[in-house]
Parts: sequence; structure tokens; C-alpha cells
Amino acid sequence: MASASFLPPRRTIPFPDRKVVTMAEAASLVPDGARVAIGGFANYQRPMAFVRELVRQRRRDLTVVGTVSGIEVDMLAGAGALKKVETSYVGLEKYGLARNIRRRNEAGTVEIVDYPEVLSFDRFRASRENLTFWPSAYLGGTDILTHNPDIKAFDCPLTGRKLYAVPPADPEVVVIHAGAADEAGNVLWPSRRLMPQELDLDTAQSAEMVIVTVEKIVSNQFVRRNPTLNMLPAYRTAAIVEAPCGAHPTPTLGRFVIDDAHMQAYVAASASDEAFDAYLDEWVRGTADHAAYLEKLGAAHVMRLQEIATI
Amino acid sequence: MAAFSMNELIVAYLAREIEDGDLCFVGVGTNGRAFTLAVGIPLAAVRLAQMRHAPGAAVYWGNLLEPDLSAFPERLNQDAFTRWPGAAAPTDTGIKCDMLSRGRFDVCFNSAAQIDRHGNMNITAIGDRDRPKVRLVGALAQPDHAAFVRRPYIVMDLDRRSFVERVDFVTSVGHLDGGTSREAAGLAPGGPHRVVTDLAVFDFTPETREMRLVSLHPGVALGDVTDRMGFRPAVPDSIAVTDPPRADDLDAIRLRIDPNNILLRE
Repeated sequence: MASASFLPPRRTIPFPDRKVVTMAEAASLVPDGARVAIGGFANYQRPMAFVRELVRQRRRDLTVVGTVSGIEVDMLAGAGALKKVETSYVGLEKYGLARNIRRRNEAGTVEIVDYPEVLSFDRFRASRENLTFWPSAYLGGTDILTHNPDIKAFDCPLTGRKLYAVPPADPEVVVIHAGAADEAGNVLWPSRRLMPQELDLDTAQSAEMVIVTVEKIVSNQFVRRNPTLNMLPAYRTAAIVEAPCGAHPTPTLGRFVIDDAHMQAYVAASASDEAFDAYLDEWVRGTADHAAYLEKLGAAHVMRLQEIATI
Repeated sequence: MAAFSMNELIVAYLAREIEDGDLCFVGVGTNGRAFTLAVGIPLAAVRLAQMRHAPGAAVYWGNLLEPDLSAFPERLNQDAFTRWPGAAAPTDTGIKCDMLSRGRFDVCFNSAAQIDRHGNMNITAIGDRDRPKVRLVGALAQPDHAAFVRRPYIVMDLDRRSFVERVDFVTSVGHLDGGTSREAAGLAPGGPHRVVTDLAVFDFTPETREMRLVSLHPGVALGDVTDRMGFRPAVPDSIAVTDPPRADDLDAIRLRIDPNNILLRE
């Protein structure tokens, strides 16, 4: 491998034989021990229906590579699905600390590899460009460096300056949640978007195995009438899953606001392993699939989370 | 009851420090006191500076460049950000990251669970890194700010558990071990510019780069400060008193900048 002049992108997981799959089929594409990037940012627009399905299928030993991580990583930690996360932050922002991963990290059962935020983005830049490392000049003196044996110091061959080779993100699987896609796998982005949505684009281009959960599957004609919104063409996606309100309890721009009450219930449940297990039994393992989860939330509740579209 | 709150004093102090044309990096903040320190106080300070002497001072907040700070929305949800008037709203994260790495930011505001004599900060873990006593949030952009922003302001409450001789984990490099050790580690000259607390303001001595008292807030004694620090800062022969906010500063903060007490809630 090392002597090859061109290293093809890692494609360790076979694609499904059709684009549109069920959530259970999509989650089963992720093997135990996989290295996964999960779309969204902090607690915005996370593909939570997918994460819940990973928990239902009792996935184990996952490594999540992220930038600014939130409830998606905390839930996997609390469900015993997470071995390691590489990121610049795990927290619930205004809802406080991510207590499941904190407890498990303090107990030594989940590893956290810390990266500065800019480098956590740069690691995905490296993967997008199929590079074997990203050079950084500013890690000297930090314990981020002393605690990360995967980062190697080297002298810049042009200037002699000391640099650090930071490993690329290299996810085997990327999962994001978006507004709409067609059956061919073209994914539409809102024209008025924010960093979380833009970051999904960056993330999706860092791997071949890109799974997209969407609010709605639309016709190919709809896509062709809005080609400027097609930021992730079918050539870049492996699987599409329809999952309305699929980021709940996190928001989806232009569709749903954050479910404040549910976030608070989550925080309360994450106070202990026992309470969080009860939460998972009730909301995740106790619901057969995403449709059952929505049924449990209730139509009246979900409708109240609707946001007037900004698209 | 004091005629002004400590938050108001810090806002007025920071506003005086902000220069016309400064571009200030403001984080998106978390909850409670951390929000007030990381978001509320900085935004109020930049707005006050704009109204006073620095009309060209600007904020880059989230993906909004120069958000109009004259009116805050009732709720800071995603939709509010998409509709907030501003000069630009680049969604590509790389634009902001590249501006940061290329030294385009003049000012940033940071706080930490621990800060030490040389301004190194820790937001990663208390105790042993691999089996921490308390796991904290990680790193965020603090290492990047400490490396690349010209004048980082540290805004923290004084506490013996926070102001420690040596941080348990160096998340971000301040003046490292003092002297020229920061530069020897490969970083550009700079590092934390001021440490602004609820009792006093500090800078760093030019030679040894250790934390040095600059001024005590009105009514505060030196012993009040050192009692709440885990190390002894450098203390000059004569100690200034931090200028209190002026009456028109207080009017601006209370009536125009933060009338709904969102930014400076206690």
C-alpha cells in the first residue's frame, strides 16, 4: 500500500444494491467497530433517527470522528455503542455537559481524543483531498500534542519549520440529515443555510459511503427544477432514507425547532447509567422504528415543533 | 447595593480596550455563567465600544460577520441567525478558520476551568488526562485563538480552583513556561493580553511573562484577590484602581444594549 503512487480512498464497506433503503437497512451498513462521521454541528440537525437505530441494533465499539460533537455522541456513549470519539468538543451547549460520555470517560470505558476546532475541520479537508495527513504549525506546547501519538512532528521540507502531521478524519461511513433527496440520491440543501448545513457538505465529501436521511423523498423533476440546491449529487451518495423529523430532538433548519422539553428530559435521564438505560428502553429500544418513535412523540407534539420554512 | 454590577464594570473595561476597526471573535457559548462570560459580556462590550469610540469595531459570531448589535432577537435559535441583519453570512466554515489562521482576528474572549501563572488554559480535563477526575468539554477553538488572535482577553471569575500554579492539561498555550518558551514551541509572539476578573485586571510581565496585577476593582483589597488565587501574581509597587463604568455607560448598557437582561443576566 505505502509504495503505491495513488492510494484510492478507503472503501471498506460495500454499497447497498439500491439507493433508497429503510433505516434498519441503512444502520446495518455500519459494522461493529466502524469509524463513523455523523452530520450536524453541536446540537443542530443531527441524524438522530439513524443514531437511535444504531442503538436498537446494539452496535458496539464505534469510533466517531467529529468536529463539534453533541447529543449524537453522548447517546452512543450512554448506550454502550461508543469506543472512542475524536473531536474538539462534546457537550450539550445551553443544556450543559454531556453527562453520559463524561461518566464513561471518567470510568475509563470511552476514549476521547482531543483536537483543536480548526484542526478538527482540517482533518476532513485532508480526507476530502485524499491526503494522508494535514500539516499544522501550532500544536507545540499543548498537551493535545503530548497525549496524541498519532500526531507526528516533522520538519517542513521547504522551510525547515517544525510542523505536525495530523491524521485525516478518514471516516468509513458518513451519515447526515438533510431536507430532501430524490430516489437517485441527489440531495437538496436550503438556499438560506448556516454552518451546520454547510459543514454537512464538507463531511459528506470526506468518504464514499455517504448515507443521507431526509425529511422527504422528492421527485427527480423537483430536483431538476432546483439544480442550484443540489449540493450533493447522486454521484456522492450511497444510500437515502426517508425520515421525517429525523433529527429530533435536534432542529432541522427550516423544518423543526429544537425540542426543548425533550432535551431537558434527556439531560435529566443522563444523570446516571440506570436512568439513561430507562430512557433508552422507553424511547429507543422500546420503539420498533422511527415511525413508532414519532407515534410515541405524538402528532400534536411534533406539529408544535414545526418551523416556518426559511428555504 | 452597588451602583453598578461587576458585569457592567467588566463590560465598560473591555469596551475601553476595544479599538476602532478591531475584528472580534465571539463564540457561540453554552449556558449559565459560561454564556455570560463567553458571549454576553463580549457582545455588550463591543456594542458599547461601537457607540463610544470604535464605530468600526466588528464581531464575527457564528457565521455572521458584523451582525447588527443594536437589536438582539428574543430567541437565539437557528432561524434567528438566518434572519439577523449583518454585513455577511458566509456558511463555509473554512472562511472563518482561514481568517483565524492567517491572523485576521484582533480580539477574542476566552474563559477556562483552569488558568495558570503563565496564562496557559485548560478546558479538557481535571486530574489525569486518561482517567480524569472531571472530564470537561474538550478544546473548542481555544488553542487556535491562543495561537493566532492578536489580543486575547481572558474573562473569568477569580477562584483558587481556577487560578492554579500549573494547569492539569494545557489545552491552549499562553506564555507556556514564561520567557521566550512560547516562541520556542513554534508559536507566534502574542498570547493572552489581559485577564479580566470579577475583582481585578491582570496582564503579563514583559520579561518573565507571568501574570501581573494591573488594577483592583473599586473597593477591592489586594488580599481579597490573592486569597482567591492558587499562586501569587506579580504585584507592582503602586496598584491602580479599575475605572468604574460612567453613568452614560450604565445608561447605554441598561437602556439600549441589554434592556431585556439577556446578555448580562447574573
